[in-house]
Amino acid sequence: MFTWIITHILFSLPVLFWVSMAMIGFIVYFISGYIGKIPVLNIQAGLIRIIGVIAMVIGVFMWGGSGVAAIYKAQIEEQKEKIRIAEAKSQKVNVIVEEKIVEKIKYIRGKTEYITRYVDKEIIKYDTKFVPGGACEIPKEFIRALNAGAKNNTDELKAAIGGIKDSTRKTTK
Amino acid sequence: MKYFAILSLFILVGCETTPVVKEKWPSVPESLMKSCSELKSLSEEIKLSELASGIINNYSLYHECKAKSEAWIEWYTEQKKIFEEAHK
Repeated sequence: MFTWIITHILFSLPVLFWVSMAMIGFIVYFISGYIGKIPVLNIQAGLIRIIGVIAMVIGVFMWGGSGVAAIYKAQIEEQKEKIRIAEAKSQKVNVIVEEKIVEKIKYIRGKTEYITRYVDKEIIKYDTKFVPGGACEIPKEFIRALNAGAKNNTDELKAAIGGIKDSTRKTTK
Repeated sequence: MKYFAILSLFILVGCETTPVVKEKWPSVPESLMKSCSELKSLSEEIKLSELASGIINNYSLYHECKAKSEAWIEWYTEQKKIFEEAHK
């Protein structure tokens, strides 16, 4: 409720309005004391006094509230500026990180390509020695173990051997 | 009545709350939002050179994933510093 009062009422009216209201309320209260001495206007004096007090209280409350509203406004502007600066810095970091990762991946793939070229030049000489079906063929169990490691899945190995106990438990997602 | 007038000055305090300014969560670079690639399986009927290439390619995928992980850590550390500076 107070936030609503501050944003919709206080921000729109000048501070002088509330100061004037408080002063007028005080003056009215002061005058009501003299009006009360006139017998004919006795009842009205009481009413005027109440109105004066109410106007004074509201005026003082809203005057204080205007001060608070001004502080709020300044704090909000300060915070908005800090956030604007932070967002700009954040975008800069994004650009730097993006550029770095693109460069790193390019570097990794470059190295991989070089090593692959080495394989195609040097390892390829041994293909005839380790040909599938030959005397020195690469054991299928070796390939299965590599694949199990790559997939982190032992089902194929279990199907093949069944002997060694798999102590890992399946995690539920 | 004079005490009431003095008491009314306390109303000048108003209500004390800290205004909240909405802040957007920083966006993450697109390249970091892609998950790491799956490692590749090899055929059982395979030549030695193909085996070596397959293993090397899988190592490469690991290195790329590692680079992404390091980039995430860097992104988070920098964003945290910026956030803390803005909210000092």
